[in-house]
Order: sequence, then C-alpha cells, then structure tokens
Amino acid sequence: MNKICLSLAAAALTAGSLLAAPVKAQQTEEHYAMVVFLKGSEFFNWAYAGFQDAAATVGATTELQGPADWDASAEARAVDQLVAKGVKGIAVTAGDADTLVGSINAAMEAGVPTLTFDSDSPKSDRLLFVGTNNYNAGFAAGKAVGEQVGDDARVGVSLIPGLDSINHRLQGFKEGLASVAPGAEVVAQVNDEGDLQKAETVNTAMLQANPQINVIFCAHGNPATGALAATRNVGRFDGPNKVHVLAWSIDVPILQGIEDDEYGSTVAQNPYMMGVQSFLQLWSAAHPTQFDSLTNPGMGQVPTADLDTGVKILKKGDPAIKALMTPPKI
Amino acid sequence: MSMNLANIKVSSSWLQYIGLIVVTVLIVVFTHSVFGNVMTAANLRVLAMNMIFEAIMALGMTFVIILGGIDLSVASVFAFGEILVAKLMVEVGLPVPVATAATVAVCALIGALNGVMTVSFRVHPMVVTLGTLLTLRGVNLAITDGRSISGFSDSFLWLGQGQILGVDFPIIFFVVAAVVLGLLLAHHRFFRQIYFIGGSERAAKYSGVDVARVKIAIYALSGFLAGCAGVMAAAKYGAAHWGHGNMAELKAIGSVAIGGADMMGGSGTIFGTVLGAIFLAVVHNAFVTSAVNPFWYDVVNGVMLLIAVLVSRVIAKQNERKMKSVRQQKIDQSLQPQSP
Repeated sequence: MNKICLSLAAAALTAGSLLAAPVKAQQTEEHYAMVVFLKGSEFFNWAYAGFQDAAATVGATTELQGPADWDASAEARAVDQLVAKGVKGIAVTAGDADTLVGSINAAMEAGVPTLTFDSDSPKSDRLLFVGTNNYNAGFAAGKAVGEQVGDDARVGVSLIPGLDSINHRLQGFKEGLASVAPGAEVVAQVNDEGDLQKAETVNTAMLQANPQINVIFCAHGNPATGALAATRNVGRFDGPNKVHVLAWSIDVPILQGIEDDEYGSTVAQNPYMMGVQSFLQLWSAAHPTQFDSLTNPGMGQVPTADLDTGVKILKKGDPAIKALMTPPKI
Repeated sequence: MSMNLANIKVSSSWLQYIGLIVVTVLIVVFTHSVFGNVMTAANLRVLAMNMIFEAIMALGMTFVIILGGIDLSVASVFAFGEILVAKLMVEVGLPVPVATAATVAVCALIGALNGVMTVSFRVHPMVVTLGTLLTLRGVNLAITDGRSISGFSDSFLWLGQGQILGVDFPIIFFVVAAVVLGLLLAHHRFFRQIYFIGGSERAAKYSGVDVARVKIAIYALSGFLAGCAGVMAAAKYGAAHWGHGNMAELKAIGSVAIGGADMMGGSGTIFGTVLGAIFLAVVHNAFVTSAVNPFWYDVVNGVMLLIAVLVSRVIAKQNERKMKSVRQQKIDQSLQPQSP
C-alpha cells in the first residue's frame, strides 16, 4: 500500500512538472481565456483558433475552458475560476443566457473584462456581444434563395419553434426573400426538435404534403442531413424536381455535400472572426487609453453595440469551402 | 482475534486516506509554487464551490455504493430539483420554504421509487437508475421546452449565494451533512446495517435485516441529497436549466471510488468520499491554474478513477486473503488434538 501511495505521489509530481515547463513561461505575459459550452466542437475550435491567432499578434497567451456536454453551470464555474486565477479578459459563449449572468457580473465587478460571443447573455453586464446577427444572417439567406430560384421559390422551413434566435433568422429570411423575389413564399414549417432522425421524418412528411416545395431552409445547424435524406425519400434528391436544401452549418460533411451537388448552399457563420474580434475587444478593454470607457470606467474603449461578424452563403466552387474543410487543431 | 481483523481493515483504509491527502497536498503545493494564485482566498472559495454540488450528491452515493448498489439518476434528479423548485416559485407562486420542502420531498420520493423498483422487481440498480436518468432528462427538457427559468426572490438566492461568517451556504450545508451522515454511518445501528448488506445481502437477510426497507431508505436519501443540491444550484446560478449537472453522477461516483469505497459494496466512509471530492476539485483547479489543454482533464479524471477502483479492489482482496488465513488458522487450531 505504501508503494501505491508513493507511486501515486510520484506520478502526480512527474505529470505536474511535465505540464508546468511550457506554461511557466506564460506567467509574465498577458493571459486571456475563452469559455465554451461544447468543448471540442468544430465550431468552437474555429473560434478558439481565431482567439489564439489574434492573441499571438500582440504576444498574449490564451487558454480554452468549459464543459464538453452543454452544461452552462460548468461554464459559470469556469468563469469564476478564471477570475480567481487573474486572467486579463474572458470571452464566453453562453450555453444558457440566465445561468451565466451571476458569473459574468462578478467578473466585471472584479475588473476582468468579459464579453459574450456566438451565444449572448443579454441580461448580464458583459462588455458587448460578438457574433452573428440572426436577422441579418436570415436576410442574406433569403436573398440568396430569391436570387437563385426567383419568384418560383416555394420554401419549407425546418426549425425548432420558440427560440428567439431562430425566430429572428426566419423573419430575416422572409424579408430577404421578398426583397429580390416578391412572388416567392414560405409555404410550410416543421419542428425538427433539433434531432437528425426527427428532421428526416418531418421533412419527408412536409414534402409529401406540399409537393410544390422546391427549397428547404434549415434554420439551424442540426437538420440539414435529415432534410437531405427526406428529399431522397420522396425521390427529389436529383433530377428536374430536385429540392434545393439550404443548410446552416460549416461542418465538413455539409461542405463536402455542397461540392458534391447534394446541398444547394449553406449559411456559413464566421466563428474564426468571432474569436479574433473577441480577443481584440478584450485587449482594448484591458488597455485603457487617455480616456476611460464611458460605460465601464477603468477599462479601455469598447463599443457597447453588438458586433456582427456576418455570414457568407456558400455555393459549390466557393474557395472558402476549401479553407473551411481543414478545421484548426487545438 | 476479531480485534486483529478490525485493526487490519482500519490500517489499510487509513493508508489509502493518507496517500490521498499526501497527493492532494502535493498537487496544491506544486501548482501554487509554480503557477501561483492557488492559495488565495478567492481561488480556495472557487475551488470549494466548484465541486460542492457533486460532493453533496456523493454523500448519498456513498451509502448507495456501500450497500452494493449504484445511483446513476442523481444528475437528472439534481436538474429536476432545480426546475421543480423554480416552477413552484415562479409559475405556481409558492413561498420559498414551501417550494423548497416540496421539491426535496419529491426528489426523495423519486429516490425511494428507485429503491422500490430495485427491490420489488429484483432488477439491477444500474438498469433502474439509468432508466430514471433518461426518463427525468426527457421530463426536464419537455417541461421547460429547453429554456431556463429565472427571476427568483433574494431570499431564495441566499440558499446558493448567501454566506455565514464569510463561508458560502452550500459549503456549510455540505460540511454539516457530511458530519451528521458520517457519524450516523459510523455509529447508528440502522446505517451500520448497510455494510452488512453490501458485504453479503443473503447473510444480512438470513440474520433478520429488513434489506428492502434499508435499500428503499438509502435510495430515498440519495434522491433527497440530489434534490437539496439542485435547489442550492438553482439559487447559486439564479436559473434552472435542464443541462445543469450533466454527467455529475460520474463525478459523484468518482469521489466515492477515489475515497476508497469498494465498488462491489461493503466498505467505504463519508470521510473517504470527502477526501475524494476534494481531490477531484484540486485536480480540476490545477488544470485551470496551469492552463494545460483542458481536453486532457477528462483523461486524468478517468485514469484517477481507474486507479482508485483498482487500489480499492487490491485492498479488498488483501483483506479477504488475511481473513481467510486467520479463519484457516482458527480451523487448524480447533482440529489439533487437545492435551489431557
């Protein structure tokens, strides 16, 4: 037993010293952190890559924290720990807007500049929100469909009802579509519950009940593969009656599907730029200039309005697809 | 002879505890000396609060594991507790004490149901509590539509954010619960029975122990503590959300296993569980402090859990072997011819 205890102690010390060596050098540099609710997801890997790259331009160091299982309370704890650790700034994507309020407010009160990116916590005292403006993104998607299909576009929408973000996307989509193709219309909506299999079932039913539909707009990231399977189920995967599936994702299989002519297009958010802009805003907040921020005394100049990182509608042959198909390694 | 046996068991357990304390202290001293910011009041508070809800669940899990069972449903009971107390206050308008009491009572009832199903249908508790975990997770999502509930009164928020003499209320709750439950487990006849049941359920039954009653009570205790943790978590975060506490059952089980309990039942202590929970909190804190790639955190947690389970099995086997050899010596002595 003594041997076991000694071995455990030795293992802990050895592991510690191995891990410590490269990090000790960071102690003198400014250190910033990003907190996500789905550690390891491709989307947040892109965001963190942007955060890291932007930090490297000014010689700062970064770290990524957060759970791998969408537990916003674990994110809140990570924020608390980072404040106690004394980081210079925190960018957090809120797994749940309300859960993060206390920790973000405590961080700001402690003088640690904290902002939200991708998913906001609007009731908190965060500096600002950096991410996609859902209305604008929906408008761009609707406009692209209108330009591609024209007045003949008959659109079915696959969504999760009730979410503010999706409501804004849908509103933007309808107005974007109407701006270039006033004759086009949204004829049906289905609830895919964010589940792939459910998406296939409800989209198949939608296409059977509404054979005039020639576009499926996936208003969030999950249903695209299910919607594509639905077009197969009703024999409209290809040929003259092919249904144009508009995805909302930059996952590699979707991008490959666009290159293979399976999907019509996809709404590509820009998580890399979210990371870059998040870092730059935190850096600015952590370095006050001659005049303090009006809204956050003691901190540097940062806009209080949301910072829209925009979207691009990717179609086959777009050079951005190739770049996005090699996600960064963290 | 029975005195010798007791000594053997105690010394093995204490060796394990001392090893755990030494490793924990070494990690703290090492990370503080290399990275700093560990032994600060702010960090120690965060370190304690970081595992407090899992640690409260681990107290109940200790009883369940000593009993030879397992309770995978605690994390979903925890989230259900959050949501129920939030709904009772925000939507039904019940006062804080009534909503809180009703919530912990319902959570205890869910735990008791786990016990009843395990006893009545003779189904392995892993299957029963897994079923409860999945069912409640679905219920949590369905009754909230995936949204969080917030807007609590200050008197309720105090349960998660309030302090007594500068110490957070959930920490005080944990300490008091650990002391009370630790004393009960060590000295109260009813709770001592669970060691007997965990060691050999059949022997306990033949000795007149009401195994079914004890099991139902222990699972109810586990549900009750998960409910208490859920209520305090809702107050701490100011929101109830179906995703809170995901995988918390594994951290609770990990605390018990690292604390030296035999996962096959029959051994374990509240003191060991407290040490296990502190160890996991310190390891997590060391990861944040050292800024090591957090992708490795789960690997380290998993390896530590494996080591703990293997060490406790080695100790159990050693004890078994020693007991057998003592028993054999006794038999040999009784077979020797008596001198006239």
